Amino acid sequence: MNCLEFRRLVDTDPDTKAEEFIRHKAQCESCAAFASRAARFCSTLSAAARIEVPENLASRVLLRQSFSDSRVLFSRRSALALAASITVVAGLALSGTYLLRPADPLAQEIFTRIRQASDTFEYKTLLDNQAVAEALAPVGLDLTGKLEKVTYAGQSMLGGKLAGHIVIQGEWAPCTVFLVPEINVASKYTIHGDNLKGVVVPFDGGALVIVGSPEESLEPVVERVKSSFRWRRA
Amino acid sequence: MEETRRKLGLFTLKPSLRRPIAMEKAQQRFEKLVLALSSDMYRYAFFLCRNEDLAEDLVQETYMRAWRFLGSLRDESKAKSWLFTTLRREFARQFERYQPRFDDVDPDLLPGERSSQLEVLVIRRAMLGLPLKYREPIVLQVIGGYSGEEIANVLGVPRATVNTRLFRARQRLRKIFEGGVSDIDFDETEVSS
Repeated sequence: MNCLEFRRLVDTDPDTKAEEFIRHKAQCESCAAFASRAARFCSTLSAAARIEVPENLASRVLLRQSFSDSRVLFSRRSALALAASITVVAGLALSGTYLLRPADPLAQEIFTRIRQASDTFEYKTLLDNQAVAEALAPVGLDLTGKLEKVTYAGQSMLGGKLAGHIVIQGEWAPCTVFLVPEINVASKYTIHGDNLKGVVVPFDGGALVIVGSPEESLEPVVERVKSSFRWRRA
Repeated sequence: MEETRRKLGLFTLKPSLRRPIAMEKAQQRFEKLVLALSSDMYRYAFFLCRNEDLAEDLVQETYMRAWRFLGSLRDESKAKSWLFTTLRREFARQFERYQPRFDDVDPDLLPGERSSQLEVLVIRRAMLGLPLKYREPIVLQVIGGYSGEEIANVLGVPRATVNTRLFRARQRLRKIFEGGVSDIDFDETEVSS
């Protein structure tokens, strides 16, 4: 093996245990130094690839699998036991807290509401901020910033509470937004259903629910809405 | 396994409430795959699509598919390769269906175990900036721990092509690491046989 072949191997298979490679490294000072620098680079490359994995990803996968498993008929007791496990996974106390997981009643209610309000997607006229503020005032929401591209603003009952309901144009398609008062959400998480994806985030003592098409990046919508509303305090 | 489930906060059913033994075995097998590989799967998915939400969706869909076809996985040692290949197909399927925009992530804002180090952030940004055909083999190598031969099998391209892509990707990243260049500019010609 010559130096060129050695260096090419460093860049294609840095962990090689080939005898030729090891022999050349022992014999060639320059290539040994090159390999040493490359090893430091490999370490950085590995660190760069170690993107932090979302919390409880494995639990969410197993949870979804549990509910999607149509081959298994759970007994009522099993279902209750599984529901208990979901509670632990979510880490949410049920007293005054809704368990916003894909299979939980409120998450299902969100998708039901969206189905029932499918006509809200038909509106194309952009509402001005005054109209949005007036529509959401009864819910206890103050519009504190400028919110653009809203085509529907109203109210919906969600989780037994009167929630703000708007439709806002996303990058790809309209997104439905619910602003639910007085619901404790421990941390942000995603929900799925009806070929839609959603995100639930804690918002100023309540919850912000945004549901859009699967290709939509919901984060920008979350930021737009979060920076535009505040709950009116008594 | 039970200990791991407890740590994850997953409920363990009493023996009397459990499913039939065959189903229970399948469940245990599936859980092993999830617990052992979901993190690497997410990282692979993320480097493919460059979108955190979509990466999680890809992992979820891949595992759902894996659960449905678990019986076809005869050799446990091939589980990782099987899952990575499934995820790759799922990514292709979603890309074909939605043509989403994948570049809406700011790599500087991505949390990572050593993300406070500037050089790690620089390399992460550079990795995300590589064209997919260069990004994928290096991610498979670094995250998946695959050999050139295995990468060639997953990607369905000749080994020589994989070597060329790995060489160019690593060379480019290493130059950025050493402060030699600050952008990604590739000669797209490569060995194809």
